[in-house]
Amino acid sequence: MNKICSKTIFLFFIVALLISPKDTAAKTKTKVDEENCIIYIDLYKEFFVRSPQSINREIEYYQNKIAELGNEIGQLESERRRVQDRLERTRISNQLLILQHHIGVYNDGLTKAQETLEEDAAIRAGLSDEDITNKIEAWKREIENVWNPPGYDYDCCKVKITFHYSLRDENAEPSIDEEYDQIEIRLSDNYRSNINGFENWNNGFSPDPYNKNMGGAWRFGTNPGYTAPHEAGHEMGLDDEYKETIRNRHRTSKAKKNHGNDIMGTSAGGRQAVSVSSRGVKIDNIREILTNRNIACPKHCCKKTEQVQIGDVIFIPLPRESVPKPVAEEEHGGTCEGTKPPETSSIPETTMPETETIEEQPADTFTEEISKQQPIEQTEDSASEKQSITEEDGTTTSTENVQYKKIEEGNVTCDTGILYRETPEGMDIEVSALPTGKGINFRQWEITDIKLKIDGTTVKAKQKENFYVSKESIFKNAAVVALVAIGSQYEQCAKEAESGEVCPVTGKKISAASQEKQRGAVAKSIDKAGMVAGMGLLVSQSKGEITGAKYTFSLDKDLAGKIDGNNDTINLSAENKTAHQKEKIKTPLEPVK
Amino acid sequence: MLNKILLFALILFLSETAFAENNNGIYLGNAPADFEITAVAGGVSPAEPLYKIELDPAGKGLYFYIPSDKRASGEFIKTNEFMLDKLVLDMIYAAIVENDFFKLNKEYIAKDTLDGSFAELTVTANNKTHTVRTQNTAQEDFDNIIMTINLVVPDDNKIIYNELLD
Repeated sequence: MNKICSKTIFLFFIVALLISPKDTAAKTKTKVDEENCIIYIDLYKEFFVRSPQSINREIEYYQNKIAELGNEIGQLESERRRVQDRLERTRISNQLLILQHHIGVYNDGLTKAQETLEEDAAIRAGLSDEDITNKIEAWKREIENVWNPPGYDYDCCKVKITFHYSLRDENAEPSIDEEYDQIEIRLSDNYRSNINGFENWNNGFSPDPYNKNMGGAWRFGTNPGYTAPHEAGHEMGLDDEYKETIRNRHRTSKAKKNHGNDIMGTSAGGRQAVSVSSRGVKIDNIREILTNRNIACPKHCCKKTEQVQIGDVIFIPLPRESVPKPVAEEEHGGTCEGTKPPETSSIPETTMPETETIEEQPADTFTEEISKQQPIEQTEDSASEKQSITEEDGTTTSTENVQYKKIEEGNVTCDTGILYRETPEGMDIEVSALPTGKGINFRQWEITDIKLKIDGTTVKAKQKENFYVSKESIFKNAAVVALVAIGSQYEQCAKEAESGEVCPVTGKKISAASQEKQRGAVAKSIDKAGMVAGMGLLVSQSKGEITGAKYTFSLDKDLAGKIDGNNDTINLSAENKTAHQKEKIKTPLEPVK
Repeated sequence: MLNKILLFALILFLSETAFAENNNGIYLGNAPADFEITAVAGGVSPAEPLYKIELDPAGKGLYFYIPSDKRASGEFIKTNEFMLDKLVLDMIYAAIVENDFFKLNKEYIAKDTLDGSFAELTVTANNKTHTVRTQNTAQEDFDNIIMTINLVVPDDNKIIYNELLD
């Protein structure tokens, strides 16, 4: 009996599975192409519009209804004339009045509906199927233009958003192959487009479009470049980012804070899927969609481009002019790969400004600073070891000096780290530069070239690389960023170097407690890889914001000897391609002799 | 005693003629002295225009419009003025009473719909003020009142939202 029971239950489940409704395929679909590192988002909408015959039939219905009501009034009027009794006649008159009032309202509604239908009929009569298809094609172009911004990168993956559509007769059954959203095309200019079917929201995102058919209606004469891409955003789960405010008889509807250029917040020009507000805040709707759908770019996609991940910083090297020469520990004078970096000094963290003022430059910007030469300290222990640095304190002899400068020139500010390193051949000079602009141009600047000018001789770099850092890292400590781009062991100089002074790499021991308390995130992440940055592997940040550049120059002894602080300069060229601006920045060469 | 009976009969007679009543208890009465309405309707999205009608107790009507490119400023632009007869005001008031406006909820909003249109009506009568908003959903009593208003205002001064077009 038990066996029979078990078998019955088992068979029941099998049958239930076989006859259960087919799982509803997602209407909005996502797919990750792991081999090519592309993420696809596909939208499906099926449109239908009323035929002229259908509209005319409804107009006829309303005309008949109005005529019927007119007949009813006529009958009441006849009855009133027939009735002799004065009170009864008054009662009928009042009833007539009420009925006329009702009919008036109904009639107006019918009339308005009829007018709308007649308007629709007129528009529809003038539209061919080709006209409707062309309109939908235009919507497709608008959607795909907005939602496929050029050069968009999602953690090393490309994203491709495609809008698929179908057009059916209003009386035909909805297509089920791809299970499209069903959208009626409304012809009246007074109709306001909408989408419906939302039931679940979680922090401003809905999974419903991925699980069910959505509905709605779009006005044929949509706002060009806005309605279709905006509704497509809803079809990918995004909420509206505008709000209504009523104050002093004013009733505004405008984008929420930081969504002024967001397609989900505004219909104004410049609306985009990935936007930057006037406050410099980035709104990345595509990232929001993918993270809410738990879609990540496969990690190997970053490695494919030889990226190096350090904490949350990922670096991609540009084509190099030469392979970086490994620097021996004794030549370098600092820590090498595999050895523990010198303990750092306490670096007070800069308080990060409020988001609203994040585009404002820190108040302590200053023009070109003249660094002071700092004598190299020597101890008895290190006197004979000119180029060695020990991990314990006491040994301070150094042939390396680093300097940090914050230079403001025109529309650009440049946080610059400079390393002077004596070599047997002469001197290596490494320059890291992080350019930032003002306001909305904060992250639009790039370094296009760095040259040295020594005693009238122009020196070109032997190696050039880019690196990328977040805006937050710059605000936390720009000096740290500029110096660790040269090498993590130079982080310790950040505090002293902020004043523009040249800092020798001293290896002075600092208490672990204060170090851990004060070190910034950038320094910590760099330290994890030790000498990676120093080896010249520079990267692009996964959430890449601001582009920096590191240039390495090698001077022979003759040229190095000509540096005397008179007219010897580092010449930087910076460009903002978006705003078509260029700046030339000069700063003195000031190695410690 | 006879005078009181006659007075009662007179009141009864006047009630019968002045206030018609059908089985549904519908009144065509006088709009109160403080009767005012403001009706606003249009698109929820900032990409769509808004319309507004204001009627004061004297029957003075004002029609306003916010074009789509001015939604961020929210400033209504007056486009027309008109006057309505007392009888017309009474008709509107009758529609408000008849549809139990003051007992309607403050809002009827279709939570499953984004963008689309809304309509909002504020009525002041007998020292009471009440506002009702509908958004992407039909509410028969509310829609009847708006249709009554649209019935009596000039053409091109109508309050328009999606549910009136369906």
